[in-house]
Amino acid sequence: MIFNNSAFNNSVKINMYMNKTRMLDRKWIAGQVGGNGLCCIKIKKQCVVILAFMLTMAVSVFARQEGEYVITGKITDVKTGESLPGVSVQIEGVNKGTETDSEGNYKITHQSGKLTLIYSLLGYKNVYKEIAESGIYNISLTPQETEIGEVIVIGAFTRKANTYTGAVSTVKGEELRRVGNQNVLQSLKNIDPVFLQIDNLTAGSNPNVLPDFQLRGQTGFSDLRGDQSNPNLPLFILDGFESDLTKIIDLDINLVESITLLKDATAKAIYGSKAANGVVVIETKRPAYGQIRISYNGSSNIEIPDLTSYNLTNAAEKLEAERLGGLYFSDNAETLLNYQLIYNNKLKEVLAGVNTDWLAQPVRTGTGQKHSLYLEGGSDQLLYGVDMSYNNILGVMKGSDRNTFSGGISLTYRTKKVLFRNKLSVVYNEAHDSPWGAFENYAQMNPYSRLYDEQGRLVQYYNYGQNNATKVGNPMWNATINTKYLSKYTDITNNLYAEWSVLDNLRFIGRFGLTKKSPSSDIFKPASHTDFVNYDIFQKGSYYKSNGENLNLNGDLGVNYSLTFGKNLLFFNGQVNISNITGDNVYMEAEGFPNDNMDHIIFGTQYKKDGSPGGYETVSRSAGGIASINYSHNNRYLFDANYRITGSSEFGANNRWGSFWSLGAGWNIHNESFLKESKQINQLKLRFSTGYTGSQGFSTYEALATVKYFTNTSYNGAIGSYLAGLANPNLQWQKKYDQNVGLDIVLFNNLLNARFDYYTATTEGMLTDITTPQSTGFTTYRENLGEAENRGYEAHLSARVWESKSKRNYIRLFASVAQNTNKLKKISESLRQFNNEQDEKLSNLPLARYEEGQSMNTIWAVTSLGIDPVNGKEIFVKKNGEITYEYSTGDLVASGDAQPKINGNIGFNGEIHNFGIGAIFTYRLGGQIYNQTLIDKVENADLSYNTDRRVFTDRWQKPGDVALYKSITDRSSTRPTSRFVEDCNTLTLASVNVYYDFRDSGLVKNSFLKSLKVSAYSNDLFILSSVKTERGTSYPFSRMVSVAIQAIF
Amino acid sequence: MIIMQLYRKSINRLWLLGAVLFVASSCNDWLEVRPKSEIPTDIHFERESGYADQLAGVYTALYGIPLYGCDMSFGLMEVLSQNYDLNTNSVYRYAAMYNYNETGTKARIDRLWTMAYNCIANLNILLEYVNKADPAIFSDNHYEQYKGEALGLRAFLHLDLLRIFSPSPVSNPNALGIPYVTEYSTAVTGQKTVNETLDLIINDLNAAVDILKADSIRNSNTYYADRRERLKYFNYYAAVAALARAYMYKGDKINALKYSEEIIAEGETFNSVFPWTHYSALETTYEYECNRIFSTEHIFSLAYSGMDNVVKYYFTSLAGDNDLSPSENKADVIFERTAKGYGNDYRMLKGFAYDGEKKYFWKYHQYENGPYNERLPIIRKSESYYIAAEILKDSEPARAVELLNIVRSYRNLSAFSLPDNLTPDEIRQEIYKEYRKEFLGEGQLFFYYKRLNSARIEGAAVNANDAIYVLPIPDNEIEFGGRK
Repeated sequence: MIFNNSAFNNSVKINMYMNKTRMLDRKWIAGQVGGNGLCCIKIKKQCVVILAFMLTMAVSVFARQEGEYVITGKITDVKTGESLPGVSVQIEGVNKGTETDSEGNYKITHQSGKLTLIYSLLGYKNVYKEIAESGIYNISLTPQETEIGEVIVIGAFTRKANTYTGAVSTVKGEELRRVGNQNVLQSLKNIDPVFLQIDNLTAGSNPNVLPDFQLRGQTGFSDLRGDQSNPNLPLFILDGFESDLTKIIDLDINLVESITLLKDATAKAIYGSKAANGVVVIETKRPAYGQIRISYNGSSNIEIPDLTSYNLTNAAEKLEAERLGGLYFSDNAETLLNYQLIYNNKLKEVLAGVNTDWLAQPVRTGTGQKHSLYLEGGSDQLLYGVDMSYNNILGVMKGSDRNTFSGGISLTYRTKKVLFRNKLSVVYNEAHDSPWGAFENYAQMNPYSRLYDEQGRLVQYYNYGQNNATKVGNPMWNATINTKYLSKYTDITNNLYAEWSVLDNLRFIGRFGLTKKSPSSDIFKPASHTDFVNYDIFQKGSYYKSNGENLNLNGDLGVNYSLTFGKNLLFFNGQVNISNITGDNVYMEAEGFPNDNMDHIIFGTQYKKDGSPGGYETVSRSAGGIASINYSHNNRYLFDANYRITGSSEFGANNRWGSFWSLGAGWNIHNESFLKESKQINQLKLRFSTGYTGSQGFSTYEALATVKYFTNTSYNGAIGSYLAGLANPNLQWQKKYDQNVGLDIVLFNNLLNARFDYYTATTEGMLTDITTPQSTGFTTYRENLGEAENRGYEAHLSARVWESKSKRNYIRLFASVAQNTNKLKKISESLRQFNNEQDEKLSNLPLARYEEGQSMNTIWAVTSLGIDPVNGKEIFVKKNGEITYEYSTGDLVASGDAQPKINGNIGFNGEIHNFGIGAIFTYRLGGQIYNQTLIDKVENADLSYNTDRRVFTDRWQKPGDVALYKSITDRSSTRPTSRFVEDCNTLTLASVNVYYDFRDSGLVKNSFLKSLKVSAYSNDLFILSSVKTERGTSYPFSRMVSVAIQAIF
Repeated sequence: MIIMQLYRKSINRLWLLGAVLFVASSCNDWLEVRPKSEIPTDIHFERESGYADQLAGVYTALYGIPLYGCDMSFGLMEVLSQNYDLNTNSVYRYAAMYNYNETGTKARIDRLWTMAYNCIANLNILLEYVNKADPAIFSDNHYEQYKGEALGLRAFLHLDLLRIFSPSPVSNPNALGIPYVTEYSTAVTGQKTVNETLDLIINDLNAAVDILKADSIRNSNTYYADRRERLKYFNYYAAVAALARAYMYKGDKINALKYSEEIIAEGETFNSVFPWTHYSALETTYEYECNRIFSTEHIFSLAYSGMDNVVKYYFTSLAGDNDLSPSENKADVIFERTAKGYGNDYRMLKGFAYDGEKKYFWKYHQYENGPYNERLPIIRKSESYYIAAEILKDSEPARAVELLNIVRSYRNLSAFSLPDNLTPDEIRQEIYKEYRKEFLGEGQLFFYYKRLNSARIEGAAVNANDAIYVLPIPDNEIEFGGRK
C-alpha cells in the first residue's frame, strides 16, 4: 500500500483537533491549520486521507502506552465555581483525550515529556495548558461572550433563534424520547397540543392504520366524494426533503436530533405551495467527533388491550333484553310457538352457564421489541455514523403486527472550504393485519353463544331456531384458517449535501435527494373462507396482490450570505429547487386456491372472473426558488422577509407559477437599555408575521384536458377515447393567509419560560366541485371557491420549580393550551347541493354538511326534547320552534362541533440523584361527540346482536318511565338528534416515565461503558371521559408499557 | 466589496448565466407532465390515431343506454309515441303517461341530456384540434372524413336534442331552443330561438356535406376498401339525409326535397351503396339469416357491440315487466292486417315472434351468429322517400304515391299498391301509417307527431301539446345555466 507521507501527518494533526467547540468555530480551525503550515488538502488526495484516517484509528486502538505519567484535575466555571462535566481534554498533537466526569474531574496519562492540553466545552472558551510533569491541574473555563445561541432548523437552512420572528416550536430528540419510545409523532403530540391527532374511535391502536394530524385547525374539506384523503395533514420534511407520513411513523425515534413545528407565515413561507397545513421539520442525528462511540437502545414494549369502554350485557341480561324488546312476541300462535322454541334453546344455554367473553377472543397482550444500534465517530475531516434498528410492534389484535428493519450510513467529509455529507438509509417494513377481522364482529356476538360444541370443535354457525333465517356465523372461523393480510415496503433514501464556503460569510449549498419506495400488499383468503360458501370449486379462495413503485428526486442549490455593518446584521438565503415525483401501482386478483397452504398468487387456477388489472400512475413535477432575508438591528429590532415562487405540473396551464410571501417583525425588548441589566427578565420578545402559503390537494390532472380509453367496449374494431373530465386550466392551489402575533418570555434566570401566540388563518380559494349545466358535457368541475377561517391561540409555559446548585437535580413543570375555532366563510353552489344530497340519505349518524358561518366539523342534528314519558316517543323541536313527533331533515341545526374548543397538556419531569421521573396528562375541553355507541348499541340496538347494558336500564319500557332512550320495543331507526350530542371532555394520562441513569455508579465508571440508563414508559395508562362511548370499534385501543435500556460504549 | 468580487467572477462566467436562463425557459415544458393513464389532449391529437380513437369513443357512447342504445331509439322515445303496450310495472310506465317529473323518468331524461352533451363535448375537443391540425399528418382523405364526421355528428346530435327538448318550429319557432355548444370549456353557452338553433344545425350540416364530398363512400369499391364500411360512420349520405330531416323539421320544403331527392337518386342507382334489401334476404330457410332490420338500407347505423345483452331484456321473455312490444291487437292495427290484409308485410311477418307464451317485437332480435347482428339503424333511406312524398303530395300526388309504393314494394306489398288518385290528405294518412310501420321501435314516430304539432298521438290518453312534446331540461341546467 502506498500513501503519501505528508497526507498521513496531516490527518494525524487534524485528528487531534477533534473537539466539538472548535469545529463550530470554523475560523479558529482555519487559523490553526493555516498557522501550522498545513495548507488545505486537495480533494484528489481524499481517498488517501480516508485510508490514513482509518489506519490512525487502528493504531490508536491497539497502541499500548509505556512509562506513563498522570495528570488529574477538576474543571470549574470561572463565574459560578460549579464543576463542569463533559469537558473535553485533549493532548495536542496526538490523537488522545478524555472527558471530565459528572463531578468535573479528569484523569489523563501520557508518556513523553512536554505536552499541551486543550480543555474545551461548548459555550466556553478553550484553554491551552502546557504541562511538563504529573500533577493536579485545576482549570476554570470562561463562558464565551458572544452567545452561540440556539439555531432553528427550518429545513433548507437555519436561523438564529434570537433574531427570528417566526412562530415555531422546537422539540429536542431527548425530550421526545423522554415522553415515549413508540414513534416520533406519538411523542410529539403529547408535547405540543397544537399538533393535534384526530381521534379515530374506529381504528383504535391499530399499528397499521396511519393516524391523522392537524396543525392549527382544518383548512380543506375532508373526503367529500371520496377523491382526497386527509387534506389537512401537515407537510413533513425529513433531513431537508419532503417525506411521507409512513416514513415518519416508522422512523427510529433514537435517530432524531430535533423536531421543529413551523406554524406561521414567516416560518412556512419557504415551503410555499405545500405549506398551508403547517410544516414538521425533522432532523436526524449527525455523527459526533471522536473515537468510535456505540450507542445501543433496546426496549420491550407491552401492549395491553383497553376494553374498559365496553359495557356489554352478559348472557342472562342479553336474553332478558331480547325478551323485553319483544323478540319473542307475536300475534300469530304458530310464530309465537317458534319464537318460544328459540327462546327456550337460548335459555337452556344460559342456564347451562354459557357466558362467552367474546371480546377476549381476538385480543392478546402483545410484547414487541425494539433494538437500535448507532456507531459514530471520526476526525474533523471525516465523520461517520452507522445506524441499524429493528422495531417489532405486536398489536393487541391477534396476528396484527408491524416490523421495521432499517439501516443507514452517514458520512461527512470536510476541508477548509468544502463540506460533503451523504446519508444513505434503507428501511424494510412488513406489516400484518389481524386475520381475526374487525373487532366489532366479536363485540356484537351474543354471550349465550358457546365457542366450542360438546366435542370441543369450534362452532361455525349458531342456529337457535329451526330455519336458516336465524343462522349466525362465528367470526372466529376465518381466523383459524390461513388467511393473510400482508403489506410491505422497502424504502431507499440517499441524501447528498455539499457546501462550499467561498468566504467567511458566503456559502453555496447544493443538495440532492433520492427516495425510492416499493410498497406491496397481499391478501389471501383460502378456499374454506366463509366468503366462498356458494362459489364454484375453481373459484374458491382468492389472492389479491398489488405492487407499486414511487420515486422522488429532489435537488436544490442555495446561497447563504451574512453581513455585519455597525450594529446591523443581515442574513440572506437564496435557493432554487426542482423535484420530480413519480408513482406507479398495479394490482391483480386471482382465484381458485384449493389448499390453505398454497398462499402465493402463483398457485391460483385463474384470474378473478370478470376482473381486470387496476392501479394508478402519477407524475408530479415542480420547480421554484426562495429568497429569504433576516435583518436585525442591534439585536433589538428584527425583520424577516421570505419570497417563494413555485411552478408545478399540478397547477393549471394558465397558472403554472405561483408566488408566496411572508413578512415578519420582532422586537427583542430584553435587549433594550431599560431591561438589559434586569436579572428578572432574561428574554422578552414580541413577534408579528403575516403572509401567504398554499396547499395543493387535487388530482394531478384536473387542470389539464386529458382523454382516457374505454376498457370494456369498442366501436367497429377500434377502442375509443373520451374526455376524462371538464378541465379547468385556471385551477390553482388553495391559498392560506396567516397572521400571527407572539410573545416569548424567559424570566428569573431562565427558571420560567413562556410562549404565547395568537393567530388567524384564512384559507382562500378552497378547492370545491362546481356544478355546471350539463350542456358543458359534464356535471362538475373543480374550482377555487370557498373560504374558511381558523382562529386561535396557543400558550406554553414551563418552569423549573426547583433545582440544585449543580443543576443536576431539578423539577420542571409545564403546561400548554391550544384553542382553535373554525368557520366556513364562503361555500359553492355544489356544496349546497351536496348538503341536499346528504339530507336525502337515511343515515342514523350525522352526516357532514357545510354551511356558511359554521365550523367544518359541525354536528348536524334535529333538536330533541327527549323521550315522552307517556308513549316512549321522541319529541323534536322544529326550526320554527314548534314541537313535533315527526322527524324532518329540514329541521337539522348545528348541534355541536366535533373539534375540541381547547386542548392541551400538563405535566412535570424531574431528576434527583440520577433518578428521573416524568408524566404528561393531555386534556380536551369543549367540543362534542355524537355518541355512536348509544345510537348503535342502545337506541337503535339490533337485539339479535349483543348490546350495551344501558339498553336494559335506560330505555323506556312503560308509560310514566322517564327514560333517556326510546321504547325498548320500538325497532325504528333513530335519525340524528341532539339527544346523542354529548360534550366531550377528556383527560388522558398520556405518558409516564421513570428512569435511572447509572452515570455515577461503578458500573459505568469502572468499565468500558460510557453511559447506561434504564427506563420504563407507559402510554395512555388511563382516559377519563365525560362520554361513555365504545372506543376502538374495529380495533381496540391499547395501553402501552415499555422497559428500555440505553447504553453507550 | 464582496459584491464586486462576485460581479467580476460572474462576468467571467457569463455562460453560466446563459445556462440558467436556458434552464428557466425550458422549465415550463418540463412542468408539462405526460401521464400514462390519462393522455393530455395536446399529445392525443398529435397523431391521426388520436382523431380516429376519439371518434370511435363518441360512437361507442352513442350506442350507450342513455342515447341510441336504448332511450333515444327503442326506449324512451318510442314509448312516447305509444307504439308499445307496456306492463303496469314497466320502468317506462310513467314516461308513457308523460309524467316527466317522476323521479325515475326525470333521471332518465337528465341522463339522456347529459350524455348527449358529453358526446358533443368530445366532438368539440376533436374539432378544436382538427381545425388547427396540419392536414399533412392525416393519410388519404382522413382529414376531411374526421372533420366532416365530427361537424355533422355534432349538428345531428343537436338536432335530436332540439327535437326532444324544445318546442317544434310549427308550435313556437321563437321559443328559446337548446344551447348549441361548439366549445369544450367551462363557459356556459347561451340559448337562441328554435329557428336560429335550427339554422346553426343546418349551417354545420351544410359545411359537413361540403367537407364530406371527399368521403370515400362516394367512390366505387376497391379491392382493399369496402365503401359500405362507411355506413357505420356519419358519412356523406348521412349528412345529406340529416340535412333533409333538418330542413323538413324547419318547414323549408324546397331544401328538404332537394336533399331527399339526392338520397333517392343514389338509392335507386345500380350498385347503390344503400340498396333496397332483397326479398331473398327475408325469405330465408333459417330464421337467424333473416334480414329483418333491412340492414342494407341504413344510411347510417351504429355497430352496436353487445347489443344482445341489452335488447334481450326488452324484447324476449327475459324482459318480464319491461317488455317493449305492441300487443298482438295493436300490431294488427299498426300493420292494417285485418283492415287491409297487410299481414304479409315483412315488417309484420318477420317483425314479431313467439318467445315462450308471448309474441314479442322481433326486429332487434340477435340470433347467435346472425349475419345482421349488432346493427342499430339511425337513418334509413326510406325516410327520404317519405319526406319527398310529404312535400310532393300537393303538387305531384302521383309521384308522392309512387315514392310510397316503391318502399312498400320492398316490404312485400307489391300486390297492395296504393292507387295514383289518392288525395293529398289520403297521402298524408298513408305517410303517417308508413312512419308507424317503418320506424317501429326506432323512436322516429314521436318526432313525426311533434313536427306536425299533432294534437293527437295515437294511443295516448290525453291530447298532445308542448307539455308533452317538450321534455324538461335538467334542473341543474336551468339553475346553473340560467335556462328558460
